[in-house]
Amino acid sequence: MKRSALSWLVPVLSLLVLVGAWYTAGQLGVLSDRSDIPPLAAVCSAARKWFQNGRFYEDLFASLQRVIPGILLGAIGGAVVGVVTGRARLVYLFVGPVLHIWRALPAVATVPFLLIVFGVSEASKITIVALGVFFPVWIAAHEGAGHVDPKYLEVARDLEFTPIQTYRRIILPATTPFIVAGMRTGIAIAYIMVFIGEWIGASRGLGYQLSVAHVVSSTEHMVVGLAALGSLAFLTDAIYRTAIRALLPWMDERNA
Amino acid sequence: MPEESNRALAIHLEGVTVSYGGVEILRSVSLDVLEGQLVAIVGKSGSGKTTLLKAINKLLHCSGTVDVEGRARMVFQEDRLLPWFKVRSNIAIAMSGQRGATNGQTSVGRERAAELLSEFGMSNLADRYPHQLSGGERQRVAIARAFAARPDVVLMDEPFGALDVLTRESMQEWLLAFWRHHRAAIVFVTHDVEEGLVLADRLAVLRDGELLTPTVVPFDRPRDPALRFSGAFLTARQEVRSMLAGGRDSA
Repeated sequence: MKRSALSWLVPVLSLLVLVGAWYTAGQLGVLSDRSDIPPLAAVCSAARKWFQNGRFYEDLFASLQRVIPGILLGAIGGAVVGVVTGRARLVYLFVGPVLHIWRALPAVATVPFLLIVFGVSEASKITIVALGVFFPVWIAAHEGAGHVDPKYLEVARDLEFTPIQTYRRIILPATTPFIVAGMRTGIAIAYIMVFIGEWIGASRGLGYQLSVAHVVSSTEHMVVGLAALGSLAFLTDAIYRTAIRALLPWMDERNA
Repeated sequence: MPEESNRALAIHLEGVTVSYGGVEILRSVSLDVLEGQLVAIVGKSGSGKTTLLKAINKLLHCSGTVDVEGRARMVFQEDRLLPWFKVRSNIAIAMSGQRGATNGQTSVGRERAAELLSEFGMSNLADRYPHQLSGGERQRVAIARAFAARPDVVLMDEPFGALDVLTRESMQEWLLAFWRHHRAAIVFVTHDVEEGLVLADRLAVLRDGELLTPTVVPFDRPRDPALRFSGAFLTARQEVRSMLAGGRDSA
């Protein structure tokens, strides 16, 4: 069998095995009403209701409205600040300590504080996501920009590039693989942050639905919410990877 | 080509010394290269060949006099193509030093890249990335980039050093054919005595940071590939090898 076919067949098979085992356990009565793990049929029924009453799309849309701008803001901010701190030592010495102290904090621990400071608004939840994305992108861009291969900088001097041309043609492209890797981590953190933000202060969103399910102790609704959040995060990562391969084809093969 | 006596100096070095951490890598090097002349610098590994080119190109600090007439460009030992640009842009960016050119996508740069690729018979590679090229193709693109801005001086740092023998010899012939129409002064650094004799008008040995007086390579142009097997060539090769071996670490 070709490797490309294997690369999607095996993951699909692993999911089918998981779902099959879950379904069988429900049918055999292993997952009884008293069990904390709901049977697959109950989860499917809860999911159907969520889809049919239209709330799912509202929640999905609400979460995406926070995640997408948050990722963009955090990534742009992290990349810009990272490139600057990576290349300008004085700027790094000035802002580095504050950023490192903030970065060392567990991201979720800062959410209650941020919600009080910025208020329970859409802007505050976007800010929470953006801050979660900012730090992995910043540190990646900082490292990347600080370690541009001197060979390429020598090429810039040989070709008499201006400082702006050196940034555009050498430093930024050389830092891009680092930023791309940092953003992948950032995307995963973005979903953690939106979940926390919605759990604490929202009336719509996938995180909010999970908080409601928690309050009423409905494990089937919790599983639906978790599956939706997990699938969305997985899908975002898959779209991101596909987009990167299409937009930056040199990155995949640069060490080929 | 004008007679040597009428040709102006493209490069003038006098007493060039480069030191790293108290160690002298180049010791009082003096060299004159006329416009349109190809001078080979032959030396063993660690003799200071790359340092000499970087000193001429002002990529490092040195003492002494370094005068270069007009624009200088360098072809590095590894091709140093930018992996994020396609072949076309890798050549076009070399036009950045030109007035009005702001990035590799300017029409001036694109036109020049197309012109050189066509001349090199590599137009079909314009939209490829460097990783999609062979070693020889990459070096040709690197040479195209160096010649893109019509430099007066091209400094070549063992550009064929990483290629197999056959590719290397065909690249040497190709370079000579190309250079016939793009007469920049070339300083070609190599550890390969044969390569130096096949390519150069004049050849100088760099030994432990000291440049011995250049000698005229006594073969007419265009040079026949069979030249390598002639008695005169083998004698010249032996003379240069003896000069190379005369250093303090040649025991």
